[in-house]
Amino acid sequence: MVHFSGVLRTRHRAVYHYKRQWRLLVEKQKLGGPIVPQAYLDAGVKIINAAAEQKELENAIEGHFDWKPDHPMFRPAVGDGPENPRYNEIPARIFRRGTQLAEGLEQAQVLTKTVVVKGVPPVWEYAANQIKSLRFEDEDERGRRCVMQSVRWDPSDLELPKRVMKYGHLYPKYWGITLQKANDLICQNLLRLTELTFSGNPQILTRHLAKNALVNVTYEPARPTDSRIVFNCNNALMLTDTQQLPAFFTPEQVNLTKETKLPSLYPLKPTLNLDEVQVYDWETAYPFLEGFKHAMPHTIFVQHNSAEEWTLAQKQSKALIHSHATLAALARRLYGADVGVLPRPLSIQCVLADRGRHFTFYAYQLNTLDMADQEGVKNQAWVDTDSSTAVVDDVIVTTDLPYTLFSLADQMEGLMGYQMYTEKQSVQRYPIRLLNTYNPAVMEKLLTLYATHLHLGHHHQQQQPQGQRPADGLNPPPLTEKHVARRAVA
Amino acid sequence: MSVLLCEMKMFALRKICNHTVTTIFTRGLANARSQNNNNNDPLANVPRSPFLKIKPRREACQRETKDPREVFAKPLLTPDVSETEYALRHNDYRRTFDRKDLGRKPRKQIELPPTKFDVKEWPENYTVKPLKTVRTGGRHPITGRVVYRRIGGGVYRDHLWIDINRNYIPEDRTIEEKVMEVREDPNRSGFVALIGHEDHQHWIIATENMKVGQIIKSSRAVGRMSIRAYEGDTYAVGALPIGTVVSSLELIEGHGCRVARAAGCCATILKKEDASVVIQLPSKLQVRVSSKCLATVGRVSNPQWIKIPWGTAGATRDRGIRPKSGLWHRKDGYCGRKIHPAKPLRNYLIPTEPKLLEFAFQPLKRANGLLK
Repeated sequence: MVHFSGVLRTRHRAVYHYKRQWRLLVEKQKLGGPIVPQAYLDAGVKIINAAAEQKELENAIEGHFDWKPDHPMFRPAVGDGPENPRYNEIPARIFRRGTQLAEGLEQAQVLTKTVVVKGVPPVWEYAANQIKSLRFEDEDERGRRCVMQSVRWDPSDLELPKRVMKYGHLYPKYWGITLQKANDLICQNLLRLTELTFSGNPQILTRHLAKNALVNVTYEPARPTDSRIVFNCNNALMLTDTQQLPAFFTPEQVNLTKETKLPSLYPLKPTLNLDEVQVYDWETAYPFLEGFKHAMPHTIFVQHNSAEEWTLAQKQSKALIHSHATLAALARRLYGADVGVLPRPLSIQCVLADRGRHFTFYAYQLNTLDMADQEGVKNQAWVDTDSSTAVVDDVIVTTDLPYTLFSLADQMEGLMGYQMYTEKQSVQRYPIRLLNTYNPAVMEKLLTLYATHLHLGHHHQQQQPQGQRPADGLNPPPLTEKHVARRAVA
Repeated sequence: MSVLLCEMKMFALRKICNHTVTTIFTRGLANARSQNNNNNDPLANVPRSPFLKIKPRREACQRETKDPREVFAKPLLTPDVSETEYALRHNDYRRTFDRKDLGRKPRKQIELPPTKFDVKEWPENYTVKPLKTVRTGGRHPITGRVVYRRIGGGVYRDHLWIDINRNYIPEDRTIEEKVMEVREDPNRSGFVALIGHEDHQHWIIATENMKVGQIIKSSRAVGRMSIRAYEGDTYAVGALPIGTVVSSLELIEGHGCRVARAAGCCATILKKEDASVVIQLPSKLQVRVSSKCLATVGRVSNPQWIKIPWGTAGATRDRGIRPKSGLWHRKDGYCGRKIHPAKPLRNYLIPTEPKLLEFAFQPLKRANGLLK
């Protein structure tokens, strides 16, 4: 379709909504003043332009207020040109929030030089058996309450994105719980439940939780024709410890990666879909300062809150790159900026939370930072998904599916991740019989991840005797004899 | 003489800065007039230049002279526009014309396509992201007057920028690209495909049997032997064999693929010579085209589009088409079979001379008071 600007070339500029723009121009022109007849000027009549005087007064009043708070909203916006302090002459390809890698996990593998193994690491299998005795009786109900709180009961009144279900139909505005808010609530609540189960263990006192942990890692181009690569990641939650995690792969397995080959993306390059920018940070950034003791990473929670359609592989690539970047920033700090193959590999665990509903788990091990060469020792990762097998035309087909925490949170209509419709009066909130698709496997996985590098056994003691639930922000404390006695008196 | 020299300087300046020539032009003339103000004839000092297009009216020139330093110190009412836009406003349509006015319609200055949604801002570099649009309402982009009466309303659409130039295709070798997505585009009848090559992605018009994951080849090379053409590949027209069916064709080298882009359309290669190729377009017009022009092999996708009726008036309104007058116009030239002789071969290899710039003399006083 030929467009006006293509037909007119650049000598003409299209002006649409002509009447509206003309009216605006006429109003602006009024500041210039009316056409004054020469006779008045000769007679010496004083003529004042009221609009211009008003404008001058307003400017003068603003000038009195010299002091302005040091907040970004009072500073003029800096553009993307050389005046920006973060401007660099050499352009770079950046991975940041919103980057959707077209080829998904394979592209992330080539970018971060990792070999992916689908399955559960042996450390988690061993821990899963030990955890069974630690779980509460009513952990499922608490999980259900966490889900309902994040999806339905939370009173936040945030503006929801435009609802587009029918092509062309304009829906009114809705307010409620956004996807990001729901995801934040779910992650925090589930993490709090896991910490409760391990509350008798004093080793968890060394663990710290950081929110919005920013990481920035940069790589020089491998060949003169390539471009710089920058990973700018924001981990929603980051659990840290004083000591490093033990390795997930044995040294023999690490050596075997020399023979494995990374997937081929021909005719595409791994830098596809990475924006080319000149405003970026060239320095490595790790979320904690150098002297901080509890800076060793243990687990990161990576959130995916986009309402657009992403394949599972594209979301998994996000988790892989986030975990690689956090470890790379740490390795540069520990071993220097020019390190190649690490003397001791670094490990991290990762949980990918997709809109507070779908979860996948990863265990990443960083062996080398030598990205220029595609051969040699490579990094490794375990990818744990709830895969389903099916027989289609005499062929066994395995599809990767995430662990779904719930599918329906409302008996009436299935919510699409956030509250959209107004509730009808006839619906009873209590008793809770709404959430019947809750999956306890997610809690089990979170407990196994939390238990890594934690010595379970005789150190652990249950905080309270059985039969009595520990204090919990969601439930009120139970009534005791004191309360009953007082009521009788009153 | 001094005025003539002034004009010649202006002619040179015009090539440098388009939009300031109006002021400079009139300033020179005002100066000339102010020098000899004794004559009663108002047209005495107006130069009779060959560039004079519009005859100045005598009453327009009968006004007291103003010092141009005073007049042009103030900013103009209008936005920065070029002088040809003033000419357009003067010469353009005074009212809307329909097909019944075929004998009385004046010749258009610019051929405007009936677009319903025009892009608000074209970015400098090519992007794959959808661009924001603005409803045209059938209005002329410069005059603001209604040119097409049946355009208005409709479901809002984003614009996907189709890459018509594809400058990354080399002249000496063949490159391979991957089809990543094939989808509908509300701005056109055919489908649109997302092509990925190395670092970058492009939207192109999809051919009939394009599938996601398909690898297509492209090249601008022209060899002695013709290439075996597979559907979806993009080659120079001189490299394809005679009889190939081709879409998204370029007529002038470097001007972009603008021909045969509607659903089910295709052009056929009829004859080949060293530097030129004769192609039959979908309108059955034959053209002689440079052999280096690009084209994709195969018909455009969605060939059944024209056979499917939209069904309801509401569907037509959703596409931004307003109702037409139900009155039967006898003399519109619509009815009856049209028998015309075949048009001669059109040769796109003859270099066209650039259009001479046309100057328009504008009187200082105008009815609207645009120039102050």
